[in-house]
Amino acid sequence: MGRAKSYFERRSLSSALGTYLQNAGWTVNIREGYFSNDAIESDTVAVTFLPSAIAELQIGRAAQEKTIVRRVQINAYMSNEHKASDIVDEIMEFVDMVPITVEDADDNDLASMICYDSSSISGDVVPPIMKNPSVTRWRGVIRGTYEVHYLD
Amino acid sequence: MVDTFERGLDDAERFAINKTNEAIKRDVLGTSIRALGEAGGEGFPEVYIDHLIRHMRYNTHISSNTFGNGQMEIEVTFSNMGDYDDLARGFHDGALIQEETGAHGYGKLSGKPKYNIHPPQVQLPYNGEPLMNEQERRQEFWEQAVVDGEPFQTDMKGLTVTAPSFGEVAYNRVSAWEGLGVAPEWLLLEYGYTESRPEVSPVDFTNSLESIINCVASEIYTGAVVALIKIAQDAGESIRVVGTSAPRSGRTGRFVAYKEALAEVETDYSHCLFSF
Repeated sequence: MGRAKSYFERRSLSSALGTYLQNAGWTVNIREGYFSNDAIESDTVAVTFLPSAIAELQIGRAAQEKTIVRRVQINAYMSNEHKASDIVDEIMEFVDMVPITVEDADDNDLASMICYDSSSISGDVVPPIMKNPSVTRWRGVIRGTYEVHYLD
Repeated sequence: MVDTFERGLDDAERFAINKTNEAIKRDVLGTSIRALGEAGGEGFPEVYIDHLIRHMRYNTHISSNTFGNGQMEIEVTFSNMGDYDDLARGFHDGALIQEETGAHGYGKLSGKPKYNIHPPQVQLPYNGEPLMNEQERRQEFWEQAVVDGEPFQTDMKGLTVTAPSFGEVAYNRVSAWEGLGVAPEWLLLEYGYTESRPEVSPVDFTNSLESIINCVASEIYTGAVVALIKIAQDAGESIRVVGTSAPRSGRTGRFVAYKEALAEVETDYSHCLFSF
């Protein structure tokens, strides 16, 4: 079940992000995880989780509840710097403002996922390292800290 | 008696600063960078880790600020870390250069005829020289010859070459970066790297290091508070500790550690409130 938690969280976050970007007029591929056996084509947005933690409140927590702190990194691979910069702003807004409902494979609600701490959100644009690449790829890197609150 | 307490405060602050400096430079940096570097995976070899530790130990500046009311912060700054341009200068080691030719068709760089089978090659640090082969061909060479260690059939008739290993290339990169006085490989750990094999996993480098240093600083300060309380107790004063507040940290691009500990000391002669 521990493995399934992060799987459904990532799936729900990716789905919500894809819908948000589509409604904002972006045409991008959405995928999960950092590495891929397939070549990363522009324009692609990939959601990955960095090291996580369990949140312990100072006064303890209720026995049936669990809060996990997820450090999320979203990589936006774009064909030029301008697009990378624009989508970074868009995704930072998404992380800050959009709460996520984590659902399982049967669409049952499992948890809520919210970025409470706006100061944890950062966005950078990383240039391609290789000169004269065949596929020019700028990368927008957006990070934020979510709290995922499971009720049982 | 007031003098004793004031000296005690100064001593405790100096003690806290010195101990934090020592702990960070001697132990914390090495241990935490090694752990984060290893979490980066195969694409972040030992030579990068060792270089990053050396560079950060040498380029760590720790300063303390006091605010008159006993509050103190310790600021840890890492300088000359390097940026993406510096990182890029460690790439294309040994790549063939498309050199300009002079009036008689001889290369201006090598002095050799245009179609010689040993064109000039990039020596790190890379300065942006035009490269002979397209990115796709160079990528193929990298994957097959450097990463997989297999002989590579070039486009020059009959010529098969073997390449240095990834370890040797990494060593050359570090030498180049060291010569430039930077350590941009931290960017690989911060953001990850997938442009070629072997890849590097992103490990949230700055955030992780900040958490570790903040934790260490908090422990050191707690020790300083205990030391100060002992000084006062040895002087025969009664001490009432009213509580501690949680440490704060903020991301500024430098690593800043705070610790607030509040102790109220009452004596016959003075009532001083301090926190640090």
